[in-house]
Amino acid sequence: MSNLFNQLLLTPFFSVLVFFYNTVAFGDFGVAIIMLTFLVRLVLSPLSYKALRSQKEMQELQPKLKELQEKYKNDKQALAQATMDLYKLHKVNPFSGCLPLLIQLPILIALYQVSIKGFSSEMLARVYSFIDQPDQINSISLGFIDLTKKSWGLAIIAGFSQFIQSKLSLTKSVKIKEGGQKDQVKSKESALDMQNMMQKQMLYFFPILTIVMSTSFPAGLPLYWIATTLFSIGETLLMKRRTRK
Amino acid sequence: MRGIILKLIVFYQRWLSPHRFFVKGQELRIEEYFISSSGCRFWPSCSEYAVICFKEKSIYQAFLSVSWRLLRCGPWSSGGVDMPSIQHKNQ
Repeated sequence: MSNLFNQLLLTPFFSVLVFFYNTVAFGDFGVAIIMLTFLVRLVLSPLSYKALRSQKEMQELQPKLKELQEKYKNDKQALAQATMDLYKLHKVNPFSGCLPLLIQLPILIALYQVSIKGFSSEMLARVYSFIDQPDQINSISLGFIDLTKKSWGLAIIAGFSQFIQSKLSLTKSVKIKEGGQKDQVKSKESALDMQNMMQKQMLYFFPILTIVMSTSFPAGLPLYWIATTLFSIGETLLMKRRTRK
Repeated sequence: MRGIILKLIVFYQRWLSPHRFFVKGQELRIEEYFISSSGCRFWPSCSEYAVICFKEKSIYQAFLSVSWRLLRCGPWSSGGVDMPSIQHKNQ
């Protein structure tokens, strides 16, 4: 099992990292990690773009959705089924599913492996033979970050960018809520207050967890987390701008 | 063991999931469920599916069904309503 993981994920990831290290990253392993992150996210980005495109069509289906909600008030499963059928009928398929989340795990594990033993000759021997093998990899990135050691600075930056990302996705969902519940707002005011409080707690929890986790891993991991979160922030902002038009 | 797994899943739903900003127990806003940041392809969501599995099946079988569900949850599948089959109930 671990051998399969090494073959399928660790070796390819590490080989690409070393390839970047040799070429475009000019011998900076941190820059290589950032580039690999952006590459993976770029490959996945058509999914987000597809979601964006179908959002407009979704809006046109809104009245029909309302009807369905009224019809299947007490049967969530039937409502889900009917909604799915409606989307399928109109060929709307915005759901990317768990992939963007799940893809993080193998990357994090591979990066962790790379960070703890990545600079030993044992790891370097893994690199595909058609890629130049450097004698040694410099673990210092951008002149001052040691990727194999823990870094408080990077952990805090990771937490902070996570906070911004959470905040962005929060305002998005709250807006949908306000639009949908306008007519019932008054009777639900106290419920909404409660909800706001809980959302605030949730807003802070993930960033703090990010910091705590980041401080217990080598700096290569928070560096990846920062890069991928920044990409998400950019993507969300771009989406917001496009949907406003 | 079962209890710990269920607690972990609920912890994920409450604090980590992209759907964490939607409070449970309120009326289901189905379009939010499908559109939000990582919109679900399936109903119920993978974590709800997992909760049902770990409640109804043996841990081993639940683990298998949940893994299979997670693997199916991507752009390569068409999604839809997908309830766990609980005919293999063991305990």
